[in-house]
Amino acid sequence: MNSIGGRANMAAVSQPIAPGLAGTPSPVPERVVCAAGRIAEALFHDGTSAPPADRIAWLEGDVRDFLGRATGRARFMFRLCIFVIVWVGPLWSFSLVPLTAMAVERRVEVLERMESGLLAFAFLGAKALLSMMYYEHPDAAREIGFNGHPSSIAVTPASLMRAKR
Amino acid sequence: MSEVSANASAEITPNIAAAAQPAARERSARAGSIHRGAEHTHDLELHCDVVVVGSGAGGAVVATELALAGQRVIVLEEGPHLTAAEHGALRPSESIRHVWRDAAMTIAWPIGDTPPINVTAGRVVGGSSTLTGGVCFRVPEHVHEVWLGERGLPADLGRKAMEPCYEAVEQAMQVETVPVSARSRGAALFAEGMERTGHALHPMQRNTHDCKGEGRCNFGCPHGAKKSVDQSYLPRAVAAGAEIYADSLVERILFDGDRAIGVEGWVLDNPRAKKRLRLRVKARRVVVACGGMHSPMLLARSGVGKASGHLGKHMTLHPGFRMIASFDEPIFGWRGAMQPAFSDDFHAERITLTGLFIPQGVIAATMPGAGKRHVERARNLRHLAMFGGMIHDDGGGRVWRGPGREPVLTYRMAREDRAAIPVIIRRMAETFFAAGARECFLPVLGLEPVDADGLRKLDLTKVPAKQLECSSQHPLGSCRMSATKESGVVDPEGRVWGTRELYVVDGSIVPTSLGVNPQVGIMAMATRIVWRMRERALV
Repeated sequence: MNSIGGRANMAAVSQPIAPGLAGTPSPVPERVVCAAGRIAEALFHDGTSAPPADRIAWLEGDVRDFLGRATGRARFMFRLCIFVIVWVGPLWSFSLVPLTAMAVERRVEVLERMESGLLAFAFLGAKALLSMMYYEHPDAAREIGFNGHPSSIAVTPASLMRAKR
Repeated sequence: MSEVSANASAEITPNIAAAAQPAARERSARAGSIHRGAEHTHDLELHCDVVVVGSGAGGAVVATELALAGQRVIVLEEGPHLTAAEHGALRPSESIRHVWRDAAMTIAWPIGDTPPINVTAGRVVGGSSTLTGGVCFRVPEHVHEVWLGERGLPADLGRKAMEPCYEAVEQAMQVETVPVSARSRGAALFAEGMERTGHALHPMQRNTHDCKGEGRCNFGCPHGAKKSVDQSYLPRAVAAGAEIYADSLVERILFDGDRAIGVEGWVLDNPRAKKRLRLRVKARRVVVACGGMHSPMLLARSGVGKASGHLGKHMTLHPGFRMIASFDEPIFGWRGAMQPAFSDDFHAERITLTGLFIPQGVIAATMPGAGKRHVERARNLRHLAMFGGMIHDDGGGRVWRGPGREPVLTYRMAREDRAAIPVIIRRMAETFFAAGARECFLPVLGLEPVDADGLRKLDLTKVPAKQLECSSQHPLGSCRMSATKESGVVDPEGRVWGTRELYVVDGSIVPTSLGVNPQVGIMAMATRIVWRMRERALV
């Protein structure tokens, strides 16, 4: 399965597939989505390069959908985790620069330092959700050798395929 | 309020035959339906004999048995309704955002030497039953003995007296033994390790039929093989005339004096749970079945259950820990039944071990590292095996009313339970090493994987509680059942002390921690209560 989409199309990444899930996701602040994307670039950096831009864009679209559909406290918790990672995490590495403004290699260092310290739980919260979504991308799933049931992997949404055509 | 009868078990027995022959009664019933919130355009004012708030393991049993008995039943469920096919088509992360309460981000905040605990539950027609691994344990004999002894509950809550209830539940949910052939390679290796360390792994009982072993039961079975209550009980309830309203939030119980006469709340615009239309249901009997986190909240908002001083207290969680082991051989841990085996060999140490598997992304997340280290470990996924264990805990949890709709949970771990954590972690790792694991990823945040020698040198008692990765799927006991009104929230019949026609029937009434997955125990207790309830005249 190929990588999909471009940034402009990503808001529609997860279409409701069941009548019981109908409804449009609520708007999500773009700075939260972008921060999640910058964290993901570092988290999934393989030592040579960050993941392909279109895959991060896909992930950002899924984060937007996730938060747009989550209830109030879940949104608050995720945003709190992001805030701690972006603003408090760098302080643990003696930096006043927010994580989103750092080079990707520096972001990796900051995240690893957070994981073994007092901020580990906040990092785990964001890492778990981002990883869960990221490895549902068909290319990412293939890279780690996952070949379980197809419903555990994202498919190219029909709306995006139409948009591409 | 009636007196508690110590010889009440006799009341259960005559109903066995009727319970075992539901088909005949179902055929003669008028079919109801499942209503989605989006269908409604006006405020709802409904009338029925019994309104059941919540459609999980407790509520589904009550609704089904009462509908089969000819009573007019309405079930109100806060979450959406999905068919089995719709559940099975969701990616794990989609399941979490749509049907897991709080998108799986509920935390029991630690007090004292306690790890933070991620508590998960369902918010969907079928409740948490739809999100289990299908594990079906009866309540252990020694727990029943505690109920009758220390807790002073009546004899019909004993294991033998409840046998008909267990049988009815297991028959309705098609409980079967998982064959050894359905085990994943990871579970098979764990079994080898258990054998080499002088212990045994037993086949699990699960509510599945024709399981294909896709290893993703927690997110909906893609084949509809798991017989959760939305597949087993609720269709029978609807066939017998029950009306199920999805996307319907109950905010308070209505009273006439001390008698419950209905509920009121809102039809929600899910998935964001925005209030859309007013909802009011008048009923002759009210059954609260919102689970261990929300039943005490609903009672508190309605101004009942507080007098005893026990409402929202004594919550047990079965704090759980996972162990990931890396082997040289490929494992493909996702191939096989998700929870195929268990061990109760460590019962004396308050520990039950059960098979486990979690989505590929979450496994990757729970291994330490970011960037290159994370990616390298994630790419080893097919070599990873997993097993889990939980602690038979004391009731150190508490449910508090929070600023929003969701409760705030706190948990103070008992000293004996805290002492069991290093034991459970070490036991699982040693078992995997005995089976030939190269290294283990312990549930300690930021800790690098250890080999067998590293494990021996590691003093797990020194690991700070805040660094432990802990989860729970079993919030129980926050409206506990008691023999006297001074020691609990509901009486042995499930009625809230000091009220009339108000029942609580879900995991919140479990009198003590169970030490095993609670689904069948909750449903058996619900069966016992509803068999009596249906004999009690509606006034």
